[in-house]
Amino acid sequence: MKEEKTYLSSERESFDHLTAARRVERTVFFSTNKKDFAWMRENVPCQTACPASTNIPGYIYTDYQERYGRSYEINRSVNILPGVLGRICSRPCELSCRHGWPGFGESVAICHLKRVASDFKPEGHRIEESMFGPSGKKIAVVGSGPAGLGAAHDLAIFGHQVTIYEALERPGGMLRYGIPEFRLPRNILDIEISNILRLGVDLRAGVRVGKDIKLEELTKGYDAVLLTAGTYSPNKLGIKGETVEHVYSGLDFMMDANSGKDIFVGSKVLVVGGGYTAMDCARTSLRLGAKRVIINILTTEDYITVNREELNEVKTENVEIRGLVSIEQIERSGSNLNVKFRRNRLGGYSEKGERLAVPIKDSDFTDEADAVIYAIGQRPETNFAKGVIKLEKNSMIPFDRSNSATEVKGLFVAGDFGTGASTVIESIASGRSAAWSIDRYLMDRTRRKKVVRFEKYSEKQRERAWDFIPRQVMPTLPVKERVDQLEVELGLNRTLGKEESKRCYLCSLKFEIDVTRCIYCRYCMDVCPTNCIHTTKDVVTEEDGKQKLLVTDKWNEVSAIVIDNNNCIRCGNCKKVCPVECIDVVKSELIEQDVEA
Amino acid sequence: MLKKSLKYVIIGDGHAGNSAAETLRKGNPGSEIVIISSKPTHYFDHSLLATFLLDKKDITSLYVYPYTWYKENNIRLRLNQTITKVIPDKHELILAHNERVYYDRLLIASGAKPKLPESLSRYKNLLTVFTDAVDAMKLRERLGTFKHVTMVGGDCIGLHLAGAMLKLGKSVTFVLNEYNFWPLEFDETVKSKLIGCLKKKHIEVVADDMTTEIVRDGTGLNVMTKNGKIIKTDLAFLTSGMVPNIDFLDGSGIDVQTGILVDEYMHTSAQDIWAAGECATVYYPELKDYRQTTGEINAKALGNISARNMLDEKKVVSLAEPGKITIEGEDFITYGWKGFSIDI
Ligand SMILES: Cc1cc2nc3c(=O)[nH]c(=O)nc-3n(C[C@H](O)[C@H](O)[C@H](O)COP(=O)(O)OP(=O)(O)OC[C@H]3O[C@@H](n4cnc5c(N)ncnc54)[C@H](O)[C@@H]3O)c2cc1C
Ligand SMILES: Cc1cc2nc3c(=O)[nH]c(=O)nc-3n(C[C@H](O)[C@H](O)[C@H](O)COP(=O)(O)OP(=O)(O)OC[C@H]3O[C@@H](n4cnc5c(N)ncnc54)[C@H](O)[C@@H]3O)c2cc1C
Ligand code: SF4
Ligand code: SF4
Ligand code: SF4
Repeated sequence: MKEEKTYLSSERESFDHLTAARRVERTVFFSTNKKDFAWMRENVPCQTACPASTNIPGYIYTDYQERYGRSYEINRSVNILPGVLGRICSRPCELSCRHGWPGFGESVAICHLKRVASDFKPEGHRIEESMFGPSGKKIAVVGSGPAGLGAAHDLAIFGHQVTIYEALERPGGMLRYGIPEFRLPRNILDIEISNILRLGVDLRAGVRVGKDIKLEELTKGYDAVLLTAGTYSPNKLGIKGETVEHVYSGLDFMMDANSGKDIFVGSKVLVVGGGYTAMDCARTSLRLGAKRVIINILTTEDYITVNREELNEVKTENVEIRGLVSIEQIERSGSNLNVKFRRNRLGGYSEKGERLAVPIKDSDFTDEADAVIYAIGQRPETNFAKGVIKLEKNSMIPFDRSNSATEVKGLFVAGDFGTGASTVIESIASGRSAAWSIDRYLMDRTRRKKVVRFEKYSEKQRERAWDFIPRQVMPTLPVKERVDQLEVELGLNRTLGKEESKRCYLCSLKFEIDVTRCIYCRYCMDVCPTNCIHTTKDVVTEEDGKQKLLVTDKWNEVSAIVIDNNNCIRCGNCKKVCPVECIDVVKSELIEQDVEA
Repeated sequence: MLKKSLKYVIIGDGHAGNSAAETLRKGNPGSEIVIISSKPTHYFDHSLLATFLLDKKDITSLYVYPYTWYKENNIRLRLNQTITKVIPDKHELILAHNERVYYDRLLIASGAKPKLPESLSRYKNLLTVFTDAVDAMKLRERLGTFKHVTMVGGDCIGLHLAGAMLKLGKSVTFVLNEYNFWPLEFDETVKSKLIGCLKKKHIEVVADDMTTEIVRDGTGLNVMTKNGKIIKTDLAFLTSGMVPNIDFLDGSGIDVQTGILVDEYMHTSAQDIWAAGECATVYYPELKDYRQTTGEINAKALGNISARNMLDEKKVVSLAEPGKITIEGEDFITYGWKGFSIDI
């Protein structure tokens, strides 16, 4: 017989020794006070940076407890596709992680730990969905990429009847037709999509809106329509030679490659562009037989959008990166393409904060290649909406970013289709947020909201030694074995995952000194490794709810000893030394809650 | 007018740093000059490093200046101290032991380190490097423990080292890739000429291939290549070229592209900071392009020009003559390396 597993950790069971009275003390409290939201924003920087607002410390701690199913569910409840995201997310959270702040080391491998939850959740683990009753409302979603899927999930939960119209044969959008399989195995994608469809979502694949069915028919036949049709019109280089044979747009190249078509790449490939698509085109070219691939970027590696790990993998496969160049012209000469480039130097910053490249006059040079792939972004293909809504000058659909609504009643927009090319996590968040707006529009009231949940935290503290564990490195396939579509990243195993999970400071823990009990001994200040416990004369609350400490070192002015949680690494040293046990730890989490529950 | 009391700080005690210090001292006798270097040994001639393996001389015999030179010139030398951070806004450096050092004008001349191709990063611990005096001292200690060495990748440091290895009776294998041999001007013709010369010296060459894996095999190593070759060897040297040593600039906001980007006056994108030598990617007006330079002559010239700009002279950089090295009577053009021969 298989060994019985309990997924409750020993830490949890250790409450058993508490008296009933002590156990009830562990009360839970919910708040919508702006002070508490401000504290969360400032203190849990990873969750603030996550477009979907994932409770990161929450799922990392449950990973640590080896409650992988729970960890997966904490993710899934807000980001819908944890197995997918645990592989290919752009990881804005890791750029903000407190562990990566100057002097604290490297950020926590937040994304890899998401994959740990997904890889090790028990087979057939319990999926937690709490459905609203049927509303009788019908909604059409155009497009089944991350935005469409995220929206369909939440709309179905809200009790609406959802139909997705998808132009291509299979659902997933760029997850299936853009991102290559060696980064995102399709079985993972299929399972997570089916978890959404089985909520009662009707998928009509192979139906292109605008061609097989008119958008007007949808706006007439449904109570609301959400457009999440992505960006499928590649930006052009606008140079001579763009249409020459063996010059491809990155998007077409990846879509063909992912549909299993035969594409000529030859021996030397020049890729132009510095985003995920460019990286994928380069790596896919190698798998199609190219021997040398050079990615050409306008500025430098510091200013491209892909995350460092992705860039590292690209280089590991011996793709070269050439910075500070712009493509000028492509010419065919016999079986070769002659490609003219111009050198750039770095300039200032654009309004959007992008680093600019400034051309250097007369600095042209020529390189040869068998194929050229340009991946310089793509735009939404909005023609099919023309009869229903007036487009902006740049052919984009005008809409209100605060509620995803267009000026046409019942017509909403989300994902890359609305904003232009972004990332998977931004699209999921955008889709879900549109779903909430649609629900508000259809039901005439708010049925879900965000709240801060407080719970007294008396579980085992972290250990200070854990702050010195180095970031665990993702095991990968040796370069020689990276053929076909074999997944390159192998995932952290349970041991590596456990080590990595210990590194998280659990920033949602709030360390507070109870002034009424504090005897001003300052022991805590002496043991605090980050000098973040201060003698203060006052704490002022700013307009947005943010709290500011007025620090003083004059004893006659001191009114309290206060922990500046923003610089606190939750090491627990202070709590251990406090002689009067006046330092309390509260777990505070930003979560979603039903209003009428 | 240039202030007399300026504090000049130089990161790096190599050719570029020392040449700059000398120029600064002449140009501003009253100023404070500090050289900070992460190495315990001091300014030495790299081109003698291989000969050091062949005799019993003391490491100080390689030093370019005696310690007294720094005293005489009132230049403060701080050895064995590593800069971990540069904060341009505050004109501050942070050292590994957490000390903060103020500068009025800063020269970064932190040189280069061996390039570890990303595909070999997991084998880092199995690769031996040979770039500074400490590496040479360690290697001399263990000369009796190996017979065959493999150069992983192609560069002139590998050639330099191969010269000494052959003299010591060791056999040598090079695993060369198709496209470059640092810092030679390289194409198919140069490649076949180079391979010919190496073979004449009885060096085994695995050409148009690439090291993909290194595994321990008893006391030795197996170096495996993309084309399926397995080379049994005692030591594998990392000889895949050099890359600028600039990790400590992360987060400083200073523009970099492989090296530190400097304009024709050797000035970086940050106020009061210049860069010179192998760590810099220099804009040459005559090329209308940036270039990474290497070699003693270049480092010295760039150090000198930077210093003159740090003295408020407006001095534009010009391209040094290409370097030339000789192997078996054949000349090879380099991006700056000079006076080098494998026949030591
Ligand atoms: C090669 C590549 C690699 C990428 N890598 C990453 C990465 O690693 N990490 C990351 O975060 N992001 C990455 N991205 C970006 C990411 O994939 C997109 O931002 C995201 O998929 C956008 O989601 P979406 O739902 O808005 O649109 P899409 O995913 O594009 O989905 C739109 C869907 O609408 C369908 N559709 C379009 N027109 C119609 C119509 N008229 N009728 C019916 N259906 C229609 C499409 O077929 C598609 O299925 C990558 C993109 C590409 C191209
Ligand atoms: C084995 C070998 C043989 C060579 N042979 C020749 C030859 O024959 N001919 C030729 O022309 N060239 C040769 N070269 C190349 C030549 O030595 C270099 O190009 C030259 O030394 C570069 O000078 P530099 O001043 O830029 O840097 P380096 O001489 O490398 O000096 C860099 C300095 O920066 C310091 N530093 C780096 N980082 C930090 C930090 N974070 N904090 C504090 N200090 C730091 C280092 O300690 C060092 O003092 C050889 C190189 C090697 C390694
Ligand atoms: S340490 Fe943990 S909780 Fe804190 S920011 Fe990083 S991942 Fe988030
Ligand atoms: S837990 Fe206490 S001792 Fe540790 S960093 Fe925070 S305030 Fe300082
Ligand atoms: S250790 Fe406890 S009692 Fe002492 S100052 Fe800190 S909080 Fe107050």
